Amino acid sequence: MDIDNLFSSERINFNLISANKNEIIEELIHMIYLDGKITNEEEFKKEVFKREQEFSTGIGMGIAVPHAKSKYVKGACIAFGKSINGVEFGSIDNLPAHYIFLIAVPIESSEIHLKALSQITRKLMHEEIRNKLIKVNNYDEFIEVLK
Amino acid sequence: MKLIAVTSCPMGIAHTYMAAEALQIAAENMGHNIKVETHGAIGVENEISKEEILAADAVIISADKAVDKSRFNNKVILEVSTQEVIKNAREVVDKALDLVKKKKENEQAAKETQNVKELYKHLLTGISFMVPFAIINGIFASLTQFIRIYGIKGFFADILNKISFSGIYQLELPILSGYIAYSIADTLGIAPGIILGYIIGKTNLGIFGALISGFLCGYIAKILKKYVKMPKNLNGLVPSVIVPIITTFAAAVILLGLLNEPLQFIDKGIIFQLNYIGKVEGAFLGIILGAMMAFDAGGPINKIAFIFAVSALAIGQQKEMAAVMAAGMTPPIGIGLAALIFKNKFSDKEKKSAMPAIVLGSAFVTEGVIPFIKIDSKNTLPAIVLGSAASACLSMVFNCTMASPLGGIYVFIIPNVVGNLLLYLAAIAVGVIITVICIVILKTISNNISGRVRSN
Repeated sequence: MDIDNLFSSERINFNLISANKNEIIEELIHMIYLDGKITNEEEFKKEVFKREQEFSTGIGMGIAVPHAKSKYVKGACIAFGKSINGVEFGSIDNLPAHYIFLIAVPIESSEIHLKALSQITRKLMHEEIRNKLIKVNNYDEFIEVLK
Repeated sequence: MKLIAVTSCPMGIAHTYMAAEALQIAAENMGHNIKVETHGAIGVENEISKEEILAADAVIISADKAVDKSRFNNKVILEVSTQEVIKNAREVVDKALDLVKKKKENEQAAKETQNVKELYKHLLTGISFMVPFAIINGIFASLTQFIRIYGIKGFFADILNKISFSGIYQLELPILSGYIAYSIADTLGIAPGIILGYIIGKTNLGIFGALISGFLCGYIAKILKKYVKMPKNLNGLVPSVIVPIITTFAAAVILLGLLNEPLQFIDKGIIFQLNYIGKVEGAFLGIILGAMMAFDAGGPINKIAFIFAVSALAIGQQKEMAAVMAAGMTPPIGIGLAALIFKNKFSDKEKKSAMPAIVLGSAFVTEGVIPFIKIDSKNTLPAIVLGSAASACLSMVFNCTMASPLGGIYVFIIPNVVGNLLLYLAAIAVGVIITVICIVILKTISNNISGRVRSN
């Protein structure tokens, strides 16, 4: 399945430990680095932060979608992390983010991946999906919700 | 509502689609139709077609980088960031709908002013065709009265008698009605309009009746021409037979049947009011007419005062015409004289217009004062309003009458056209003097102020 390719149980963490936005992003980037999806952790981090500067990817309702299109990305993928305490993300509703989706996309992306990405991000705008997401605690339930 | 939207964010990975989804959800929940075109890393998806653009009520552009708007020419466009949409899509949709509502309200208001302008144009057309009739009638009637008073006889007296006793005054109402109808419905309106106007005159339904008859015939003829269809070969019957007959009959039914009583009542009311106008009311009316003539020289307010006077004249009231003519002559003569006498208060441009203004003013062409208004309205307007109000007021108080709608001093000299000529000339003179005094004082103050400013 398409979204199975984008997600992986190696890139999911239901208990992020970082207490602030930058560290959380670093924590997630590290996950995808360990999973072999990016070639240069530092450079990729810079690009994600640059995008974040332009304006915050905290879209409110407890969700954030930091992302970057980069030549250091080997294959399109998403890392998901849940922060139980929540992190200030500069969200448009001023509430902390609990569910962070880090999206990494190579410069030359396949249409399939981009389409899958767009479908996933669209799903996040639906209240029912978000409500289900709150109750999720493991990888299989997670995939179920976002299918 | 039919909505279309374009979403676009720089990376084209996430926000583009989230904004699109948010708009979709919100619009559909609110009961609207929406199509969202996305500009993302994949490219353009769900492209909006030309027909869809035409059919749309509003366009929402949710973008963080420039989107080509030229395809949406003339459409209501709301531009927002993707953030705003993601934050509160419903609010964005509401904003777009508000814009649509405002545009409709503006269009409605514009249509309404257009309608009023058209009505005014029809009225003016009728009046402008009627005035020559009134002039001819007024002058000859006055002359005829004159020769009767002084018992003048002879060949020319006979001709004059023949002209006046043929009842030419009866032509005024039919012409007014006919040419209002003409303005509305072209040649199709003329015959019914003139005929009904004639009947109105005969049945004493008055000037108001003639006005209504003009509009009625005009619009009925116009509607009939538009909607009555005949088989091809008989098409010519529509303008030649069907429209004239039905228009005349329908207008007659309405005017002589339904509106007969109200119009008689109004007409008697008007005549009563104007006939028995007391000194105080007369003075007051004069002030208002005078102010209107001066305040808007050449413009619609001036014309309305004139139309009022001409209408009163058509039903035999000559006082208002006198007041209005006095008020119309005073501004150009007054300001012109002031510019000639008190040369140092006026600019060179103004002095150039002085002599032409005096000449025009004596002929009751108020427009002669317009150059002065253009150059210095701040001082000119108050001066001429005061002066004209005074001359019109005095004209009413002195019971002066004027039998001709136009002409100025060139008709004063025709015997009997003016009633109480000496007092009339006095009224105009007083108005002129007041105008001169006011403009000189105002110009002096004004020049001192600007002098002080310049020297500072």
